[in-house]
Amino acid sequence: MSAPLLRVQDLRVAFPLRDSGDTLKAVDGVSFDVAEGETLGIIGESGSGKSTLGRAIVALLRPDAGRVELAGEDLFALPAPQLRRRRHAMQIIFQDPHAALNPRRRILDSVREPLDIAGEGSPAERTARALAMLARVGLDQAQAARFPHELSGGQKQRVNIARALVRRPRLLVADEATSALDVSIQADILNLYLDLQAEFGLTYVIITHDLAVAMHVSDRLAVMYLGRFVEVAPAATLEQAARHPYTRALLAAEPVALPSRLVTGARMPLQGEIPSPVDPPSGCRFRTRCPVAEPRCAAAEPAWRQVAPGHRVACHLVEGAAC
Amino acid sequence: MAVPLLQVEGLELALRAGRSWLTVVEDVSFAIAPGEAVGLVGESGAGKTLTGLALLGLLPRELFRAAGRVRLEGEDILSLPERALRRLRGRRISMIFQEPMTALDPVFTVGEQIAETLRAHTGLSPVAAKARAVEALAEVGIPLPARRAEDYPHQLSGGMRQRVMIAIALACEPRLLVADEPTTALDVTIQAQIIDLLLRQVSARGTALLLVSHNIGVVRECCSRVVAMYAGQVVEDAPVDALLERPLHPYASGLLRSHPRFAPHRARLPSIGGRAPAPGAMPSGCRFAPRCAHRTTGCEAPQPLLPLEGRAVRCHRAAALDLPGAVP
Repeated sequence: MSAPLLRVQDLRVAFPLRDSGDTLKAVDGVSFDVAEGETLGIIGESGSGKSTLGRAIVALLRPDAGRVELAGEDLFALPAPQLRRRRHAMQIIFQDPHAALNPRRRILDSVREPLDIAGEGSPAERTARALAMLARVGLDQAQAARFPHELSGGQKQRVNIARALVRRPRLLVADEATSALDVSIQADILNLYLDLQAEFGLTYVIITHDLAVAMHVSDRLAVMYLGRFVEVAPAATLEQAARHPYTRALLAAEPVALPSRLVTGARMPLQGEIPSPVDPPSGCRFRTRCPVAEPRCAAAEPAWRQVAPGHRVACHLVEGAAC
Repeated sequence: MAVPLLQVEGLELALRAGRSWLTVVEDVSFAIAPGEAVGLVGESGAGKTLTGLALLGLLPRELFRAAGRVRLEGEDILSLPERALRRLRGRRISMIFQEPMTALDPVFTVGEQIAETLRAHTGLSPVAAKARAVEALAEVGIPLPARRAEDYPHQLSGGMRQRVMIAIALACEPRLLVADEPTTALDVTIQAQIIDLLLRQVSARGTALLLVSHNIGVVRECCSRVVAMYAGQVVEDAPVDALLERPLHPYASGLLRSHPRFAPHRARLPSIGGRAPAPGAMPSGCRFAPRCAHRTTGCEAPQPLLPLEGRAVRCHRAAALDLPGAVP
């Protein structure tokens, strides 16, 4: 594999809590690479730190420790003006398509804005480029003249995609970008993501709680729990041969819309709730909810083990080569 | 079916729009047997939440006009005055919602809220109601129930709040529980816990369940029958497995097939295309026809909900079509 487009090394983001003086370690030592043109899915529940991680990747948040490299360049070592000039290369799309748009600006103006700020080309060229990108995501000139409240949720998410892509980024982070949409609209938007990736050679980081969506669009998947990755594997491997007890529990918890005869395996709901990231459990962070935890799980943090090419697991009970 | 517990016949709901009325739910009919669990599914705007609210008379009368019949144990409850509805809610039919934080009162402890429900509908003394509230919290799996009874809603997690809502809704042993997206705001591992709890609690009491949800997977886990809505109408009413195996309505089939599971990895998903029509701009014939791949002559006529193969379906071509379901 050539040099990765995105390299994240031992990234840590903590938030001081004003009332108690404690710190909430939202992301606590995460490392991964994403190759150019690849799609990495990051799966996690509320409080796993996945959204904080997404914001740090696109430099919307400054980490407390660790590095984020885009095309070999350490983003947080760059002086502010230079970081600003790199921002067009990394874009993020959020869950709520409405909140991300200025309600008082017309769609065309919102999509043209990144070009206006960058001062690229003449005003006429900027309008033409914004309209072309809107057309590419399936919105016509009449829709471009409307205000956000005049569009449906799916159409607004198309606008956000157009705005993220209008300056031709290399990396796109989508944080629950289809979670607010109905299934039939979600299908259209996922198709659009796949088409645009092929057309523009984009690299994706797809952050979601939705396993089915993550498995469909991702080449590789990372499962996150309380600020750390617990398992990383190719999508098909994770679906068929997940090794971490948390990943298995997530897969088993997903209610499937299949006829009963095709639903295999008994459901065994995890006990308890996700512990507070202010005071995570010692050793393996999942041990308080893990159905197979042993005394050693409380004593030491599990090391990463490679169980197959590209398949890494952080669990004391999984055999494999240390990595 | 034996005598139904709930029978909805030709329910029509209209929303006040200035001086006129906009029909948002039309010709909705279905029935629920005692102890039966039925799913009401559809996408945003299909009318499923409004239908659920109408069953309890929770739609404000100055904004909504209801027509048709809703019979609970034979009694028409749609036209009951507010006083009678208040006696009915909680005791014979109750409801839980997607966001328990907005349904719970932030200035009373959860124990007080359960005790209040009990005292309003039964003759329990304050002391007895308080003791029963702690028992109810224990029944829904809340650890240290006596201490949690003293907590305010904001001190509980989303999953715990939904457990409290279930305790309140079932406190007076209603015959029917309407649950509107009860697990949609929860993480998938917590959702699994709440589904298990809900099913255990309703089956232990013989309570019937109407589960309103956009998630057909959740409906399959909880229900034996499903009523699918589109653009304010019921389009198919069928046993869950039958609908998943071989849906009879093209919309039900399209919805099932647009799930990422049924396309090869990273391939384009089959998509219905287009959008549901807005109220006030409904097609005069079949409401799904403009998006339907099986549209033909005859679809311009309004479609009645007709019995077919032990189900009910709103499509004149249903018997002739062989539509794919949720089968790989």
